[in-house]
Amino acid sequence: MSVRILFFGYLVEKTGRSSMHINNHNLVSDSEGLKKFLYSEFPHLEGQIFKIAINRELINKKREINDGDEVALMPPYAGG
Amino acid sequence: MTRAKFFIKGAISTRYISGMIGKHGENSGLGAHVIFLGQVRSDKKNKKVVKEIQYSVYAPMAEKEFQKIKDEAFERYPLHCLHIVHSTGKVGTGEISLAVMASAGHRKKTFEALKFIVEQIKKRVPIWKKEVYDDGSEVWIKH
Repeated sequence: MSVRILFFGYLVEKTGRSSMHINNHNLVSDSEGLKKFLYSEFPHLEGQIFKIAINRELINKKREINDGDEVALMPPYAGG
Repeated sequence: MTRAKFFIKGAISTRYISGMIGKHGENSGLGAHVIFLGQVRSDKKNKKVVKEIQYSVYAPMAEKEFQKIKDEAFERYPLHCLHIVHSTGKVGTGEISLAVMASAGHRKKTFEALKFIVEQIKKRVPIWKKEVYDDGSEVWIKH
């Protein structure tokens, strides 16, 4: 098991990828830990505006991340 | 009810749109169809002109959100039918990237419903777009 991270919009360019797997779940056991981890992996992410969805549900405060979860980093939407 | 399909790869063709309109003729209880078509504009930015837009989506979440918006629209307005389709991938200027068609007995509520639906789509559905210019450069659009 691992945590799957998805990047969308301009975050793909900031990170150079559209997805990644984090095998060591302890590194990212909650949303704040995940951000910290990603900021150290991808310094260009820091300061970018994005929302987080865990298993396709938006979160607006610190949330636990479980092994096997799918976490999406989503900049402001621009559909239509 | 069959699973709704909300995405089309590339531009939404006039053939698709006319098909959407055509299949409602049999329902004689309907008095109004209101249609919104979103078209890719050839905006000019710093002497460059938009050639196409590339849409990317978080498909499973977007499908879920489209369905929620649809359900809410049926709760709020006396709609008989509602069709929503959005492009993914490349859509050129002058082509259609979003089509919404709401059908009901009377025009007033149908107009209101359509406005509600389009605004909700803009606000809530995880879709992103990148403008591609005539010189080949690209920029992600931040709203």
